[in-house]
Amino acid sequence: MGFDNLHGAIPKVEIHNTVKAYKEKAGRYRLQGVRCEDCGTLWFPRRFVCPKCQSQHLAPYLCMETGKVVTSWVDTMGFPAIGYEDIDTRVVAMITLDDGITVIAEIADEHLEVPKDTPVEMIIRAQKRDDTGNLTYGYKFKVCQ
Amino acid sequence: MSGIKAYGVAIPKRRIDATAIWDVWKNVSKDILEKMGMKERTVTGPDEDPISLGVDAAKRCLKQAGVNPETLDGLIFCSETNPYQTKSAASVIQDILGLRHDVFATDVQASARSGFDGIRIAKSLIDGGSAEQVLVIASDCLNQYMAPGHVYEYAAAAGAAALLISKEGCIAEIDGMTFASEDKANWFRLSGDRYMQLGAGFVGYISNWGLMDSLKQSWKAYADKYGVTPASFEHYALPQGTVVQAFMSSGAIGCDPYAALPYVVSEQTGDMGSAQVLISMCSILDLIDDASVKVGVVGYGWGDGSCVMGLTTTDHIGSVPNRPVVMPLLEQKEMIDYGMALKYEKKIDRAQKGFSSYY
Ligand SMILES: [Zn+2]
Repeated sequence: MGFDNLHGAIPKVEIHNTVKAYKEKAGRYRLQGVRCEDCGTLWFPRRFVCPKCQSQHLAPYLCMETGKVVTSWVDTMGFPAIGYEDIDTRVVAMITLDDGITVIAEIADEHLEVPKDTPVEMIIRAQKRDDTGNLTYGYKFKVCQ
Repeated sequence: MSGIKAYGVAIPKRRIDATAIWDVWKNVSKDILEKMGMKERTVTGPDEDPISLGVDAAKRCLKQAGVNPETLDGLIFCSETNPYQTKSAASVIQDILGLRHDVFATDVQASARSGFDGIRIAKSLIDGGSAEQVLVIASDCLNQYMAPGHVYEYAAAAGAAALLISKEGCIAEIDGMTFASEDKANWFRLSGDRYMQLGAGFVGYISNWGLMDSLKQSWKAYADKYGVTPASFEHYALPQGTVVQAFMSSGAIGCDPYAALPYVVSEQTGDMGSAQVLISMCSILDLIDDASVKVGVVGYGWGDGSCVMGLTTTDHIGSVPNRPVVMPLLEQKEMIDYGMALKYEKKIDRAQKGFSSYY
C-alpha cells in the first residue's frame, strides 16, 4: 500500500470485510495496538512484525484515549463515502495521542475543521455496516468540552 | 448493603425544537404542546444508537469511580430499543469497555423500567455474594422508533445513564426496591415493526392512567415494607416522559411536586426511555454534598410496570470528582431542523446505495 512509512497513521475508517473487522475489534473498540518488547516502539494498528527492528516479540498495548489534533480536514469529495451516506459533513483529523502514537480518525459531531492542538478524546460510534449487514462499532474522536 | 458507587450520563448533542415538528404536522393544538411541557428533544446522530450512547455513559461512570474495567463482575445492558433482537448487545459493550470475559453480561428489556430491573438484578447478585461490582447501563433511542406524525414524536428522544452498583465505597446506598406489574394495553413494538404503537387510545389515556395506577401499587408496597411516608424523601426523581407526567406521578405518590420539579429534565431532552428517570436521579446526586439525604427514585415502563427505589447518600458523595455531570450535557447542544432529524433517525424511505452518480 505504500503507507507503512507513516508509522501507524494508516486510515482505518473503512471496514471492508466482516472477518477482518472481527479480528481487529480490539483495535477498533479500545485502541489496542502493540508494543515492541525489543525496541520499545508503540504501534497502532497492531503489527505482527515490528517495522523498526523486525522483532516478532510484540505485546498488546492499550493506547491513550486522549490526544491533540495535528491537522484536520473536511471531506469535500462532493459525495458521501460508501456506507457513510447519513453523515453530511465528515471531519477527519490526524491526531497525536498523549503517548505519541498518531492516528487518523473521524471527529464526531463537528462541521468545520478543528484547529491544531485542540484536545480530543476517543469515543465509540456506530460505523459502516459490514458486508453481512451487521453493525460495527469503532473509535472516533470528540472535541473535549 | 449495596448501592451506587458512581454514575455517568450521555445525552446526544443534537436537539430539535418541538415547534419545528409542529410546523410540519400541526397535529395537536399548540396549547397542548405547552401544557405537556414539550420544548426540545434530543436527536441521535447518524452514528449514535443505544450501544454507542451506553458506552459513552459507561466510560464516564468508570472514570468517575476510578475503577479498572477488569475488576467488574458483571454488565447489564437495559434498553427497550436494543439494536439487536438476536445477539447480546451487552457482550459488545463488555468488549468495548474491556471487561474480563468471565463476567455476567446480559441484556434486560422491561420498557422504560428496564434500568430499575437491571439495578435490582445487580443488587441481588451483590447481596447474594456472586459479585462485588456490576455496571448497569440504561440506554434508549425512542426517537428512532416513533413514527413521523405521531403526537409522541414531540417527546420521543434518546439518552443513556450508567450506574456502578457496588458493595463498598458507595455514594448512595439502595435502601430498598419494590415493583408492580400488570398487562396493560400501552405502547408496544412487535419484532419486525418499524415503529412503536399505542395499545389503546390517545397518549393521555392508557399510558398516563397506567402510570398513576401502577405507581400507587409500587409506592404502597414500598411504604408498607419500609415504613416511609411521601415526606420521608427530600428529593424525588419521577417518571417524566413529558413534564406533566412528573406532576401526575407526584399526585399518585402524594409527594410534594416541588421535591421533583427542579430535577425534571424532559423539557430540554424529551423522553429518553429507560434512561430518563435515572438521568433525573443523577442530576439530584450532582447537587447533594451531605450524607444521609434520602432520595426517592420512581420509574414506570409502558405496558406496564413501575418501581420505587429509595436511596440514602453516604459520606463519599461530597468527594465525587467532576460534578455536575448532567447540567453541562444539557447545555451542550446543536439545534437541527426536521428534515435532518428524519434523515438521522433513518425514517426516510430510500435506496440503500446510489446517493450520487459515482456509484
Ligand atoms: Zn522493535
